Amino acid sequence: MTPVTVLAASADRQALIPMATGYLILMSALALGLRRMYRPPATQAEPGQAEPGQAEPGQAEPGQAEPGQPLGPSPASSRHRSGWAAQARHVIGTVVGGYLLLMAVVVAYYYGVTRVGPGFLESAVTGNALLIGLAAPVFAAASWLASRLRRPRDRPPRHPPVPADLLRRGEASTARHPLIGYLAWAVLFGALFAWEGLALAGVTGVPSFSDVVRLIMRYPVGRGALFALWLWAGWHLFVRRWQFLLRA
Amino acid sequence: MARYPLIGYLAWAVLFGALFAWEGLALARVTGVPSLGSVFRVITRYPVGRWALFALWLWTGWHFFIRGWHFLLRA
Repeated sequence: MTPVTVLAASADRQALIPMATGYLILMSALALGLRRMYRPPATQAEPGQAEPGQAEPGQAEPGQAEPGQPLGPSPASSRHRSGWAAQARHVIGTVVGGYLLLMAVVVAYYYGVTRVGPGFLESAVTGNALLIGLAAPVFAAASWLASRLRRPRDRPPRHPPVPADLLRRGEASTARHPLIGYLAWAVLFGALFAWEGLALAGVTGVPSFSDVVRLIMRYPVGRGALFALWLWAGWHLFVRRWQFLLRA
Repeated sequence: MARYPLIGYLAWAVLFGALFAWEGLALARVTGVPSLGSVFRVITRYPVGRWALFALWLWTGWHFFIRGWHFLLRA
């Protein structure tokens, strides 16, 4: 009994590393985005043209590849390609990139931190692929339903809404807020991660987030609600920046 | 399932309550308070941010609904 407990505690502590890494990656992405958003313009923009560094968050500047972004059709050209093709390209790029990134982290965790139980890698590869397969038709149905509900009755829609990332400045509804507002979010999420870190470190009396979720999932209603919330979050974040609960 | 003092669970409730309260202020359009959607939009501005956020979302689903095993979060 004791060795099992020790192993579990050890694995929990080792989980601190990828958890902290995930937080740092997210905060780095936030910092990069904020830096670009608040960076003063380097050159005077021409009339009718977005100023460098002044584009709204979630938007790339027309005709300019962003750092770290693979070369390809610019957002401006994507705009003309608006519709299902642009939406599909955007979503597929996110799904493939995110899946590969997760697999890279899982493999690095397995070989670099701890070799956990048998079937771990197989479960990660197939389980996450299964989730994507399950979520994809739900997302497609939700997008179709949302577009049906929002379009004028007398005119069928020609294009689905274009993700805000593909829109030019002025076309998205994003407003610039004071930096302190974003920092407050970073602090709030930092507090969550810190509390989880305490739980993983085995501090007495601190339940992990999984313990909380397990309590909720003891009942079918809780499981269903949590799964629905997870699906909705994925759809909202990656498929359709729709205004529902979270202002898009 | 391990039992923890109630205060430990309440701390989680307070933390998430703070998140929802801050989001509520944003939705109420209090000046200077960005919504969570705005924060995520900043993060997903770059492909790497989008991938990281998608990976986190995917891992969450796998961890809670598929595997139930302790990878990052103790199961």
